Amino acid sequence: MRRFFKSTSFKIFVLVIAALFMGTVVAAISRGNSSPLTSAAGTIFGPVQRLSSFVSKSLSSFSINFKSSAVLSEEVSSLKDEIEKYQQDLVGYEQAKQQLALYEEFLELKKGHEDYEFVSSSIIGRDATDLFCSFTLNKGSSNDVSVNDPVLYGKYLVGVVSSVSATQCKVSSVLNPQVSASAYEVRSRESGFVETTAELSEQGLLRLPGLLRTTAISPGGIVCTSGTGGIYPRDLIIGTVREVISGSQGISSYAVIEPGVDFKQLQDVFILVDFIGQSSAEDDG
Amino acid sequence: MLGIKKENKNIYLRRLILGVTVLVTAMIQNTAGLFPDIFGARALLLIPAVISIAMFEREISGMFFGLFAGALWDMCSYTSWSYNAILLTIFAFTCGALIKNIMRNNLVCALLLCGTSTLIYCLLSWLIAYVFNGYSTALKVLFEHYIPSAVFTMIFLPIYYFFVRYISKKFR
Repeated sequence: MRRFFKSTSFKIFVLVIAALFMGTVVAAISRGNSSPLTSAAGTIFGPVQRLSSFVSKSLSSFSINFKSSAVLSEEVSSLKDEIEKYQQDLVGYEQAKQQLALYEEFLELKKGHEDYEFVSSSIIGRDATDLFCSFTLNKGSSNDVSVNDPVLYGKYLVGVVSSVSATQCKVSSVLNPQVSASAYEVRSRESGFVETTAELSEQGLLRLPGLLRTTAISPGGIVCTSGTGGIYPRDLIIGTVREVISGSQGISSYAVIEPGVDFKQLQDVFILVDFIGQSSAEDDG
Repeated sequence: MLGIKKENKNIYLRRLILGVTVLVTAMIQNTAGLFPDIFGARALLLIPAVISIAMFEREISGMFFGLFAGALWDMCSYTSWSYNAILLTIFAFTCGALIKNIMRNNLVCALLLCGTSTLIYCLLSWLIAYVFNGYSTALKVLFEHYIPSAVFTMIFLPIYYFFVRYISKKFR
């Protein structure tokens, strides 16, 4: 046993592990919140991850064509070709329609807020062990993305950038219990912090706690960011109130909010890299 | 002289194939929609891949495959530090060293090593993500997500084990 611990291979192993821990320390003190190894891997293998993401998207449209062509006989081969063409057009149309809806909302948002600077981005990866809908985007510090930049889908708030490397960044969604946003309900103007708990996150829900028992907030109310804190700008939609629940003591209550975005279906998002009133990561310490 | 060159060529070719295997596995695991979930359980394919490689490549070479796999996993991980790189490097080195010094290289040992590694990985991830944060659903998530994911992962071990064994024999 002593011989094993004195062997060259064990010394190399200890060196590698020490280097990895050093990288972890660097990640903790760096602005990007990303270790050198992760940044290097992201820069070198990011394009492969993007290709993989593209293949995944293409496969989902391929299955539609495959199913339909199987039911067509050889006798109608000319018609089959035509149908396949129409189906491909339809898939393209559906994708373009979704993209257009996103850009329309984005344009509307941009018109109302000239100071907003966006970067369009695609989701290239998700962690298999994470249940809070975190994801990796294909834009990084080379595109001016920095930690704490809000991530949007149209007018809806999706999450916040948690770490950045040169070519990609990681996003914590609002379904992560460690993410919270100052918010207000549009009709009643009551404000607070929107957050979630592990139980609510599992159901894809958020909550606005600390409301008075006599709160005027009712189901259907729209909850938006209030802009306090400098991380999120004002008036991004977080979601709609599903129900208002009285707390166990009966003194206060909280509103359960349904986010306006289906986090599992997201493919393209916008990163808000600059807006008036934004505080930088350094300001936040 | 020629014999040595051929041997080196085989080693390079073998490691290239194993490197590509790790890369493809990482892409399959990290890309949403490319590999199915079963009742919320997700396959952590990189663990059986790395363990199988370490068993045939032994500790040093296996450790670097573990480091490579971990770095690829960290690219899309919710942790900002090199959590997966550290764990997979440790797993690969330990398994390689155990096979070299104590254990035999067969499927039973592979199942034992991979099972232990996967369980340690899942329990650590659960502790860090849920228990240390004090989430009340911790126990529920352990039995509904982490343990099923560990079991689901084990299904893929024989595939990787026999594939790596075939490659190791072919490019000895």
